Amino acid sequence: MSLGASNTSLSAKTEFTNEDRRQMLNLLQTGPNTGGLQAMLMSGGPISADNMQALITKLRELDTQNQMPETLKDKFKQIEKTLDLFAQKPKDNAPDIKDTLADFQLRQLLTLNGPTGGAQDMAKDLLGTKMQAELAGPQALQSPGPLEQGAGLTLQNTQSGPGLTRV
Amino acid sequence: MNIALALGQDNRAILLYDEPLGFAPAWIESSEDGRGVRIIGEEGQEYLAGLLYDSFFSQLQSLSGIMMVRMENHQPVESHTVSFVNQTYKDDRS
Repeated sequence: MSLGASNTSLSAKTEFTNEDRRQMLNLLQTGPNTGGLQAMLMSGGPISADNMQALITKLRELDTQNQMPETLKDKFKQIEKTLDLFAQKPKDNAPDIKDTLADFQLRQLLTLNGPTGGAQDMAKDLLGTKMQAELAGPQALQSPGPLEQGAGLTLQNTQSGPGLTRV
Repeated sequence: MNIALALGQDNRAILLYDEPLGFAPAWIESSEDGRGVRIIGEEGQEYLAGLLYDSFFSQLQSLSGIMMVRMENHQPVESHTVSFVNQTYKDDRS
């Protein structure tokens, strides 16, 4: 199982043996409305975290006679651990971001979308007092303003104008 | 959605945004051919973050990665560190 920086890379082919898949398919066929899960299981293509969890949950639900082998149950548990790590990772890491960026020295803030004030607010919230200090500097921030104000504007994503590259 | 790119003195960069993207980002691309700065998802999604003035492309040349941070209620709630790819298809793409 591979766990990327921001997402899982799961597929039935990589997580299960052919025998596992055969047993899972047999079990799915005993339940109603499992066509989608059956197709996902047999496709071998990528499976999202939510769909993988849905597949495992449905198989457990259908395993009323406890016919799934222990090895397969263990695989389910291992996959769920990874899914849980994946689900928790962004939020768990988020509070540490400010520590990670404690030494971040802002050189320039570019507004890509939305009003410049919104960009400044987000930067202030994340970078805190350091951002406040940078804002006080004469050239720390490209000046906000509409296109008509010319050179001060850094970005514009809704209008054409001098400086914008077009194909 | 508000989106901003904070460039650091040490060539670190942070992409700040304040709404969920709806997909897992894989990398960020920037090109001077009018396609602007785009967030590419792990399953091929593409989100235009914004267009840049010519003079600012040069400042992105040394970036290799970008930390994406989603802000909510004045706090960081989600982060992804992704690669930054400078794409210019001047010669072979129309």
